[in-house]
Amino acid sequence: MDSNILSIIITLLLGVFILKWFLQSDAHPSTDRINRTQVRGRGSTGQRARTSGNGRNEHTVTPDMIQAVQNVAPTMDVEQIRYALKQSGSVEITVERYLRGENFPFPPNYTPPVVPNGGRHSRDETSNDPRKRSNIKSDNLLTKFKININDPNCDAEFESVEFSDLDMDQRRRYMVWESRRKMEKRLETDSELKSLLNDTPISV
Amino acid sequence: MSKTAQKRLLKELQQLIRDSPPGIVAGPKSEDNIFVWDCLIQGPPDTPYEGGVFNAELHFPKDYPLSPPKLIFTPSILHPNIYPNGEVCISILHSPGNDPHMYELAEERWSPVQSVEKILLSVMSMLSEPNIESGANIDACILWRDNRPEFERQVKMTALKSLGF
Repeated sequence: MDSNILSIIITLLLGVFILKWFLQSDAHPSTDRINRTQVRGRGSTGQRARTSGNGRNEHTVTPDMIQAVQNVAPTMDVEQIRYALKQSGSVEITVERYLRGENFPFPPNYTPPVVPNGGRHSRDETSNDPRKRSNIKSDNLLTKFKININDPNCDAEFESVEFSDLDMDQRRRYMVWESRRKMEKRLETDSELKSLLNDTPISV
Repeated sequence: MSKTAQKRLLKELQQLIRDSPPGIVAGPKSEDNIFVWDCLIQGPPDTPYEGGVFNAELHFPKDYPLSPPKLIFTPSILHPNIYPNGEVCISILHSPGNDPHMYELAEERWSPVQSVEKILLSVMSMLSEPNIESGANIDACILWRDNRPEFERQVKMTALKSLGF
């Protein structure tokens, strides 16, 4: 009778122990996975930075990509843009981050240049909204679209063409050339406009 | 979603190449990315922008045309409805639905029936008629309202300089 009770107790204890062992071995890996996922979710930027810091999963960045971002974010340092593009691999993602007002770190082991007061960095600090950082300036489209207005062949290139036959790049160049020539004619008669050419530089 | 956007953008591009509105040239900035367009917009007549050509970029989201693109002048220009960084603020570029500030009508805002052509035509219209009641560049709003000759002088100078004068 006593030995029966003893064996029942031992069986029960063994059962509980085995059950516990099974439950533990089931729970442990999944709990571990959940924990790891949670950590990853909370620190996704940290993980991304680590990955690129190791030199793995870095995207190729071309000068055109940097230029595209710089057009929208002229206040950002080239190294900040390059680092952000290496991480995202996408101009759109980087521009959207900029427009959302996110901060862009400099690459590790890079010392940003010291900017005097009134320079780029101090302006960033005073405005939290990236849309309020001024990029109002003049851009010479003749230079941008490589149009040499003084070249005698320049007019010949555009005068006899049909706009609808041109490709996208030629259309852009045609529009700039045509506008320049029209403005030249207008300046011959519009003395008020002409007087601006001798005016002081733009101050916005 | 991205495939739908690409197909739609290609269709719009073909339409714009076939029948482009006067004063507008718009197309992808590079052949390998249809989501960023480079645009040239001529200043409308009888405005200080007249005769000038202004460069802008259109950035399309991956869920286009469900969401609107962003239009950014590069470089920016002086205008009450253009942020100092160049981003254009007009109703057609605002997300679909009702305006939380009850200022814009839902039909004025973005919807998938709108198009690149309509955006650029709206921008030309915006250049002609600034709306200082919903300004994006406060300094430009004040200058436009209080010192119109100086506003026009600055805009004309930008137009001249952009054409190499």
